[in-house]
Amino acid sequence: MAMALTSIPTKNTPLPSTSNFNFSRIPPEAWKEVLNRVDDPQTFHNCYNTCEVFRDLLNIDRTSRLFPLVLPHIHDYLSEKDIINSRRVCKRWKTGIENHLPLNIPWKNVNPDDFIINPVKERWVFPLTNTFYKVSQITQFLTEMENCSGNPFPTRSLLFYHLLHPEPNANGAQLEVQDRDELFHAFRSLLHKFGNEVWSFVFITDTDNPELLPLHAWVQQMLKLLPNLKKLRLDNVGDELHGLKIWDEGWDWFQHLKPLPLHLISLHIGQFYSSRVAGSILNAVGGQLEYLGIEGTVIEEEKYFGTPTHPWFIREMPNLNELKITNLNFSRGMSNEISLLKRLARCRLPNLEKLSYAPKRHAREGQIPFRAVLLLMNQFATTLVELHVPFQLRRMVQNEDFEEEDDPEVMALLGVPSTKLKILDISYSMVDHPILESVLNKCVVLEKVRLQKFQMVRSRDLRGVNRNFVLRNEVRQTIEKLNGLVKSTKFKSIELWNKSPERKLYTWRRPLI
Amino acid sequence: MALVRVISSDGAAFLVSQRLAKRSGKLKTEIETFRKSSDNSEAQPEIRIVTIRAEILRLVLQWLQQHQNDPVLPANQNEQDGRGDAEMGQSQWDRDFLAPMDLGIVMELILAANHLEVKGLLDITCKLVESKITGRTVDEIRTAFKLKSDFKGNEEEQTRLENRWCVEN
Repeated sequence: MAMALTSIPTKNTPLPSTSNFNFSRIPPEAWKEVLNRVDDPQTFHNCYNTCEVFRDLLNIDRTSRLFPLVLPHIHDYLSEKDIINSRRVCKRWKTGIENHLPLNIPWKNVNPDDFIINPVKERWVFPLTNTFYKVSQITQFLTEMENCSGNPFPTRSLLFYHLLHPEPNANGAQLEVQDRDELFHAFRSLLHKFGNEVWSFVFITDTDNPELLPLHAWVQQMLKLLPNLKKLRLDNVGDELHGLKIWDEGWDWFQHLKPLPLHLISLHIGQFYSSRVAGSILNAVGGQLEYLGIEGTVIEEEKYFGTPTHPWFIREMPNLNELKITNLNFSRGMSNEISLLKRLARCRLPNLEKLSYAPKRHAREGQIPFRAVLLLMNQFATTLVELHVPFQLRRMVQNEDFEEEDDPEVMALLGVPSTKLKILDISYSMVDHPILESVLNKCVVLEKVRLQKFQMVRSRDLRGVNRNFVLRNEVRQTIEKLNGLVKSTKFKSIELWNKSPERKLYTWRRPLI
Repeated sequence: MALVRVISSDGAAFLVSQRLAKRSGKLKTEIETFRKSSDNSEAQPEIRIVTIRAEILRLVLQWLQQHQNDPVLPANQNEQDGRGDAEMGQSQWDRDFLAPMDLGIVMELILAANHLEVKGLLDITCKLVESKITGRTVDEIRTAFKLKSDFKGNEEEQTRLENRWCVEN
């Protein structure tokens, strides 16, 4: 007999309450069926910790299922060869390596300057270990991989360094001069076959040779072939900015990119790309970004960035956790940095925890007053955990007779507490400033101060003096002074970083009681 | 002696001295938070660790007890290269402590040491897992971790093909 239709639960029929249900009545076989379907390693770990019954059911798979969670802790100890070898152990280890290995290999550590300093690195890198110097090598790779339907990139990361140098590199190897179209065709073929597997894509252009610059459409087409992209870095080497002209041709190119990379959470845009490009990308996917790195030259173009009346102005990035503005150059006007800060302040960033606001590495003009640091601290006072502002200090504001400690506006800024700031990264030149004590103590949970660009400013004349003795003495005085200034009970450490070469000179840690 | 009650995910309670507990960065923060929020300075803090089961929590506390007089390693020790000081810090006691353990337990200890911010234990357990992978063949790794290959059809051959290109270049 057919069942009455009324007995079939509909969307509107409330399901029976499970609040009084005794889950221990479910037989282990049924739990086994359920738990076998748990793919996420963290959920597995949670289930495993729940009770003895679950542990008995899950024990067999434990080392394969926990591997993805353990991998981020052990990968530093493993060689590339061992990591690649581990992909063959079982399916869970393979997917664990592909999906859980930190993507910092080409992402965090690639500094375009390194390519100039060390020509050996002039290459396209397919991490972990693959290097191509010629188009023919890509062609050969594609031939070898013809029957491969999987993922040949263990970290799901791809770096294209735009290799068009006719000069031999440091090893004497003559690099092949490429035809631009042939090169792009090879890139496109590669991405056409394996673009789905790539999560992190770095494209570095050499702007010193305008004849060989990539076309605007290249990047657009390459991005179309990367539908699962999570991290994107568009960067350049070379100081020439011919690219700005090329990139001025289209504004809305990213907006029209179909499909949009909906998983993109991390974006770095180098100085080659104009603010139009940055604005176009941010307008399309800014709302989903968790990290944004942007060059000063892009953000300084007042015309587009932070102009509220402009249609491409970015008003809100609700998910942004880290903002890194680099290569700032404030040589063009004393109050330029303040106007930039005001534009930044118009953008709503309710979850910003890390902010870097850094000058050009070798710029003499990389100087700001303390007022600018305070503006940054106050702008994000309720969310900011780390602030990096390694500028040299410019004491005077507006005119030479005006000290910051006498400025009522600066005094008002000092009154706003920074409730979450734990790490403050400033220039060593700020150590002697009279308001430093107030700045440090407005950060009520401050844990670490990092002093950048340390140099022996107190002992300029070192003739006939033991340099190491003076250095030790100056480091000791600095540490003592800073320790005397900070009143936060959580304060744990001070780092001193040398100016040139840039390296950590000394770390002080509060002794444990 | 001031004590703290630490409770595992499966409800087992461990009563340990606060001095010992504070050698874990996580427990130290929890104790300080409890102190700030509690009106009674004599009250005994109770900390529930929902991600660590009793057997693993007992091992972590046992390791802390043994190393209670060691200097505490900062969480970001050797931050330049990301490695810890496993070899430097490993004693004969540590080797005897880890020797009878199944690698599944060691993996759970890695996750527990990371969660509780116990740098020394994290270092030695990571090093142990690494030693079971480094320089070993795929079959040797499977044996060490008690795993079976679950690749089907030509999947293993496919992986070999993907890897060959990585390794050979």
